[in-house]
Amino acid sequence: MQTAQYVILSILAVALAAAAVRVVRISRAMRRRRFLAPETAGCCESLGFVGISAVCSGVNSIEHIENLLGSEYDRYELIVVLDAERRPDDFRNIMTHYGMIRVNTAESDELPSARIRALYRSRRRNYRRLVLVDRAYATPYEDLDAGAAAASYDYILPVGPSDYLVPDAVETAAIAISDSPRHVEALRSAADAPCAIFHRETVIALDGFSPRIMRRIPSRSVTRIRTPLVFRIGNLRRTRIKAWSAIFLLLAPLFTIEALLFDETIVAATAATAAALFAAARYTAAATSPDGCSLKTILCYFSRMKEFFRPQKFTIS
Amino acid sequence: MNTAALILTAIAATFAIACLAAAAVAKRRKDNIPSSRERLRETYLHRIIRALDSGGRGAGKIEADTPRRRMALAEAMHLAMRHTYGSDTSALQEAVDRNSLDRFLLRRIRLSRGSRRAYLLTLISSVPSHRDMASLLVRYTRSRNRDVRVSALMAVMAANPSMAVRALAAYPYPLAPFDTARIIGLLRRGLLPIAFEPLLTNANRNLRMLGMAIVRNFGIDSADKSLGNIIASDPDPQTVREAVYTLASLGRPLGRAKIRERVADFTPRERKELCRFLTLAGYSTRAIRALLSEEESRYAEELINSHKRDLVCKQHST
Repeated sequence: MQTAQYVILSILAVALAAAAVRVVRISRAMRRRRFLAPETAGCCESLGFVGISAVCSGVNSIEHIENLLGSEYDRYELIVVLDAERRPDDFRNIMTHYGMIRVNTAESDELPSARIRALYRSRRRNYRRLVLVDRAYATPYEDLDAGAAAASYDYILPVGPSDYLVPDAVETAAIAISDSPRHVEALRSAADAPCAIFHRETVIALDGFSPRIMRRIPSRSVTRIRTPLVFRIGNLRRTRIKAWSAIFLLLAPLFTIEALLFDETIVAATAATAAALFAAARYTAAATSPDGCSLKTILCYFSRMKEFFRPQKFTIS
Repeated sequence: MNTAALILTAIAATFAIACLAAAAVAKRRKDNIPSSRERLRETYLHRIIRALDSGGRGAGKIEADTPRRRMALAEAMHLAMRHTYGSDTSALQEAVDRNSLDRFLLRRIRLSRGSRRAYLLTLISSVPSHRDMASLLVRYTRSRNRDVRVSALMAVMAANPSMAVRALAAYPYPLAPFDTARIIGLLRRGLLPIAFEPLLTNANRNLRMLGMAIVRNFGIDSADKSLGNIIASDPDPQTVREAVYTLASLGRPLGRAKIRERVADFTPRERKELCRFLTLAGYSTRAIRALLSEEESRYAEELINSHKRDLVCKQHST
């Protein structure tokens, strides 16, 4: 029994230490970001000529596109991939709102899965960063391939239908890429809304986007940052149900077993550790996420634990 | 066992309280609720702008008697300097001297570390200070933290602009693109002289990089020859790459034999990146063909075409 108590206390201590390390790292990263934000605003030129193309699959509303076009970084473009036959109204809306015209396009030799039907660019100067790609929808990964084939810049930021860019996201990514002493094949944001940026040539070398793309890039070529680049607006009700069920399923049996087998000090230690983990999630959400939803952070903890046993797939929300 | 459990409970509870307090502060910041120091900073900012408008009159009356007020005053000065071009910082010297602002910041820098120290060093670079301040700040340019050492370098350069080139030459680390962009920020504020030619011909890599950044940012076409020399003779491939991109961003011709030779040494990936850059910079297919291989030029042509629209002209029937 004594050994079991020691094991439980050790697990609690490790969980607490991990949460503390994460909080410290995030608070440092956010402090650095706050310090550098005014400096990046004064940067008129691209950093180290790093250019980023955001490629979206499933994005079809004007408000969402406006958010993604909001970055002021010099070398940035937004590529919206949409199926004109599947979503004719959304496509027409975007065409008229941004004054898009059809431009020439050729079959991509680099990414055969791209299969672009037509390419559109805006006639208006203020929307010169926007590119609209029409292709028959098959999978989000093929949409991303089509976007990468049409991209003008070297780095590809995949964006899903519920991903929004946080302020200065592109600048933060460009700083991280340009500051790295070695060549960056991929940049990964280890925040609550996981997000990655890939070098275009890496994507081509790996035959396009796939759920296994992240695993196929050597970890020494992946640069990690702690600050978020995107935030997700998902179904809050579903998130709540998922998070509370996970918490209940984990804590209820644990507390029951502890109450039956051990004395109250172990139960108190477990309760205090659980409270500390909740508080850490609350801080992380308040510091990094615009909606401040700590339940999403808790779900992120669970997915990290899962990732420990099985590497996570690359997905866009 | 009980003692260990109690210790863990106490640590977890303390950590939880600290996290909740930090979350409250973060939420306040996110909701843009100004703290009392931010309100103070705003008041000082109005007074500083008035003082700058009247050529420094009234600056001597700005008073900050507590550390919190001094900090707010330093932040207000930094804000004013960052958003104005070529302001005469000496107009605020009286306010700095009266409140011993430079010594206060120096003391704070000594006691802090990490991003906080870097932030304070950025503040001191905006505060008009005496030249001897540069010698007191030099030691921070050797810090292990990159933000600290770059901020310290900027503070040293701002404190003694005539010695800026020497300070930069003595800087022992290679400057990253963002560091160069921050120094360019100082130049834009009119705090440093823009003399690019000695920088481009200097043997120091950091100085050459800064020189090229100046050329790009201020669109100096006359730097063509110096950039050509760097491309022809510089042993560092990174500097050569930077020089080629600088020439391209100025829209200068790139067909010279020396440039072609150096570009041929680039890796295939670097050449493709350059190809995309040239396409976006508006170079014609012919210009790109003179610099890159046939296959790469074909890729460039496809990219250039994707910015055009074919117009089909129908013949009128009579």
